Amino acid sequence: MRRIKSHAEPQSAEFRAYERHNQKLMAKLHERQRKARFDRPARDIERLRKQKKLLVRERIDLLLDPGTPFLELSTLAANMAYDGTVPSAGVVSGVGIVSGREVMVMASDSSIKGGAWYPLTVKKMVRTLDIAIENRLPMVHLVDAAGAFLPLQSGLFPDRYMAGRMFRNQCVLSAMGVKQVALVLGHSTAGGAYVPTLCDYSVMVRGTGGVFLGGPPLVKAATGEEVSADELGGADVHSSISGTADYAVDSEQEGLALVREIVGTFPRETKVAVERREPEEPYYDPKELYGIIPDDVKKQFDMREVIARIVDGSRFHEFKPDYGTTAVCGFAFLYGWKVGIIGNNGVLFSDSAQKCTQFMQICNRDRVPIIFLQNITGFMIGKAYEHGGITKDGAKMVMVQSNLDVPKLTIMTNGSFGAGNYAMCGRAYDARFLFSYPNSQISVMGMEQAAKTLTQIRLKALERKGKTLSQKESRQIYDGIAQDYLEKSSAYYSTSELWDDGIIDPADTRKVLGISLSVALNREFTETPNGVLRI
Amino acid sequence: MPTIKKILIANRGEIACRILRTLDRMAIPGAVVCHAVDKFSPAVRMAAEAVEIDGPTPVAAYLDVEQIIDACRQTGADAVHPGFGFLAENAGFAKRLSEEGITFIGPLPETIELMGNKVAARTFCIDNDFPLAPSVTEADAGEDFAGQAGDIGVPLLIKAAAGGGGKGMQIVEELEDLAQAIQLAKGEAQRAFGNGEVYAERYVERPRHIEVQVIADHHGNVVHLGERECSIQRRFQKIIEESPAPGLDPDLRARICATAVEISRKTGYRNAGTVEFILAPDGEFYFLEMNTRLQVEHPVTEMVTGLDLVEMQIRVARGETLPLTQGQVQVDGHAIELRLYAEDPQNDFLPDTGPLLTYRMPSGDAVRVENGFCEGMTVSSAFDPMLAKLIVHGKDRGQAIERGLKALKDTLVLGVTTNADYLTRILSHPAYASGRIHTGFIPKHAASLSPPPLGEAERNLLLAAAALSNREFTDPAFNVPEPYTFIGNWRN
Amino acid sequence: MQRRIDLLDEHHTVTVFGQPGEQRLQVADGEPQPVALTVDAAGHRVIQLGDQRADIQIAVKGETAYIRAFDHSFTLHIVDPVDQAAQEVGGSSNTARAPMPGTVVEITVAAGDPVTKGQSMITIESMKILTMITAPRDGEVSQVHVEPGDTFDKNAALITLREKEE
Repeated sequence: MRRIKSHAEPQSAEFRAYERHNQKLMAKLHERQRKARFDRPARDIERLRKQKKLLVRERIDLLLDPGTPFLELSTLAANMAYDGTVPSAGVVSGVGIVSGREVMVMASDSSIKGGAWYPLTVKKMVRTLDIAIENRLPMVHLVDAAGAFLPLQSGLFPDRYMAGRMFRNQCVLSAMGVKQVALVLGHSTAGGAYVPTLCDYSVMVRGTGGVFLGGPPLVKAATGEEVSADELGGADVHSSISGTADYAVDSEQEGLALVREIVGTFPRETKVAVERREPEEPYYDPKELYGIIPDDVKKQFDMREVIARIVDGSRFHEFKPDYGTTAVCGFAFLYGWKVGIIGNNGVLFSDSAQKCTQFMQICNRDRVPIIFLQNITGFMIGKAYEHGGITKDGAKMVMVQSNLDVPKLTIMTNGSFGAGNYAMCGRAYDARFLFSYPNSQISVMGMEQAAKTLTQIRLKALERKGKTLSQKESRQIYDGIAQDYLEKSSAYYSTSELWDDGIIDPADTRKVLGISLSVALNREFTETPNGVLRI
Repeated sequence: MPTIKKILIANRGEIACRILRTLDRMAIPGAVVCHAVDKFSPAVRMAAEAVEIDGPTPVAAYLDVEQIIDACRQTGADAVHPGFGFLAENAGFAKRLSEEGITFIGPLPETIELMGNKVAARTFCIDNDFPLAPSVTEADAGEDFAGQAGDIGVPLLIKAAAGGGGKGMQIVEELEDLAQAIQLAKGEAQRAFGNGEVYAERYVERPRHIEVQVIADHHGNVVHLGERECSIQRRFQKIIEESPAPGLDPDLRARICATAVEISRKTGYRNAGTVEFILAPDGEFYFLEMNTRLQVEHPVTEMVTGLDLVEMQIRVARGETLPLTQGQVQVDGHAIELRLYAEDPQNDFLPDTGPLLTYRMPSGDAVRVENGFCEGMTVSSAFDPMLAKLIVHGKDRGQAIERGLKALKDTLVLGVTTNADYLTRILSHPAYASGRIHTGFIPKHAASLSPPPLGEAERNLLLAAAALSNREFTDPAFNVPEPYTFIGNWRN
Repeated sequence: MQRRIDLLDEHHTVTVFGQPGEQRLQVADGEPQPVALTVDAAGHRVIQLGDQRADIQIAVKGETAYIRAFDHSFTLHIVDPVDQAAQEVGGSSNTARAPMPGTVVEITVAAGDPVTKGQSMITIESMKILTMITAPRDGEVSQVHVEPGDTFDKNAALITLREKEE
């Protein structure tokens, strides 16, 4: 397979400008992640230490195999919600290796409001369990949560995909034969008590672990009974008397070692047999992506340059290179596994949509997982294109993409606007994992277009009331709308709302996709019939 | 003249094997008693008959007089060889046997009683003008014991009257510690021997432990078979013994051995025994104690004299006269005995227990091995942790040391920690080689007897060997899968 | 696979990577090096780590390896992580363990008795040495695990004190 010939010029002014811009973005991303992960009020850390509790990431470090990676998902969840007081939405989740097995770790962060559940906390936990179901990933729950955050309970309790969905997902996992083990290192109250109880294996730490449908204050209020947390539902009560838990340990360290031992008894998931060869590091340096991705969402770049810095040996077999040139389709290998790649090099026309559709069919029939690299402002519009059937061709692409049996992975590299998002496997289309670059933007239409439209509407409304505004005032309204729009279409907002599985550093794309692909291959591809194509 | 048709060995381990070998050679049928833990021991397999005995602990079983007498009746044994330890110096046992008409292969009960009580033995020596370190007993001094003990001067040794083996013993360096030392010694003696009586004795600095093997028949003949030096000791227990004592003035030797014979004669001694002395640097020697039994280190004497002591014991017990006169006793060459113990010299010589996964003893003409274990057995805390004795003989001390080193090199024990390497370091030590030994040898040279520190490369090789020999460690089922091994230790 | 291996009273973290036949071994944070344990033509066991090699004799029982190398004998223990965690945190100060193998001679406390730090609780005998086992801290006896006459091995649990209430 031939190598992509890169045309990037690291010495050029443009490259250097982009590089500086992106390095600033990376610095900002890393700093925000660091804060979300580690900055906590000293008082909260003190409280945990007094309770003899480890911090959530200390627990994860002890849990995972030494020298192995941890792909953390949605680190910046809730970063633009609740006044930023609930970093990572109060829960850490990610893919890691425990005793040689791939697992999904979900751990409450009790240094944040005692690990209380906010609406976005529940959304993140449901999403995590959905990933576990879609990819047959064994779950390791590190439970240490105070319970629901009452003031916002209406946003986390009643609806279909809220708290109840977590437990329903756990039951589905169980029926699928996917193992779950819980380590209760703090309280697990009310509904939360079901988390460890629905797991196959439940380990409780003496002294700090507690599982009860109602905690001591509630019990006292309801029946007048006075009982301590330990006597009510501590480790010994549940592992010796009620059978609600399976093991009691004296320390968190012992509990984590025991969880490792338990996971070590799980059989390894067999991976779907897809074509495999010896892995090879990319020929081009992934860090060069900083100089390739532009500093403006409207500027173009060649997606092949991105592909070259992700795949094995930078080797890529491009399919139908001369047709529909605004889309790039082709085969490559990622850590030895064969993948199909679909990327945008401009708006989608009929021909590029058709090429993608044809290519997706080949991948589906030949059992090749597909990676979508999005940078799409939308489909081409205009009379000639409508008469040419652009809507029909876009629909065909969406139809085939929606019904693909092979796993899909999506990266938002830059823009993701309008219908292009759908065709290129946006969030609604069940990509196994979906990640964003920090520069990426997502909205129904581009910012300028939308802001202009909204400003017009506002001005018209004011005019009807008899108000005319000066240039400057109009400008101010436009700026206000634009800023709000930009904020809500930014990668940070998207990740805050859990519209993606995390913001990643472009230089890490290969590793992130490698782990995602490995995880995705744990589940057999279902064979679904194809939908009807409006030819 | 008592006949001895069948001998029951009231003992176990290597000494039982050793006695059985002589019985075999003499074509005398032998039987052993054995506790369940010794069921698969070499002694039991060697013996034609084994009678099971029981007790609250294994040791208790071997101390059960009635069970042993019962075993004699069962097997029809008309004599008992008690070996050493257990009931070998139990006068009551000897008496019971004679009541039952069973021959006790050893001295008379009264002799055992006399020499068994250290205070009585000392009184006997004082009364007969035998050399004794200045001492005072509680019985003699009464209220004034501490005062009179103090008069002897420091350094001083407080010892238990009823026991030995270092228990109930306290060394006093400063007079102000005297009162407390007496209290501690009495307490320990009471707990260990059920008798808190102590006596005080001058502590000789850098003493050499010299003992003389004697053997006497029932007709008044007593000979000595040369001396042994047993100065290499740890926790008051011997670990290397040799004969003859290196660099001993022949005249002094003659006097010590003669004194031993005299003491034996005066007690009306019968059968084999050992008289132990302390030899001070100034050439003075003092009676320490007499052991009225065959001793652990007797092979060393056998190697230099060419005699079989167990055979001599049996013949004496049969009423035969000694087969040789003093003048006919010849000491030839030099012999060293190395006691192989299951213990950790780096951990204060604390005993170790565990399975003998690999147990290879040296073989060949140059070494005599007295062995109580075989591969597959387990060393438990039920008994003394001595595994085996390696006895070598050379035409001179230098050759004996060389052979001793080779024997240790050919010894391989895996499964328990042993003192084999430690013994090697002692034999290689220049002070030992030049014969500059005394009972403080081990504490004095503690630093140079410690093993050289382990280098990092060597340490890592050991860790690697242990890891790769462990199933779980190398089980590929726990291997990190691809692509995680490529990605390595990464966080996003 | 990573485990703690104890040698000469020191703890070492050892990690083994890779498939049998092409394994690498890392001690603590050092460089992982190729490692192999082979039997040579003469039947001797040889351990190779990086460019170092040594002839060894080795016997293994359970998690303990007894090795003779460099003219010395060594005992190495591979510690199970669950046991290691249980030892390292909390639990150890509540249980008095045997410093060496031996026999129980006398027990002077019972479950429920209060004890003060340093108070003698059990007398044990090993190799004719009597030793007193004393309370590691003030507290109350939770459980006595042995009876007079019992024999035990090194590190055996003898008496456990009740968990300290904070």
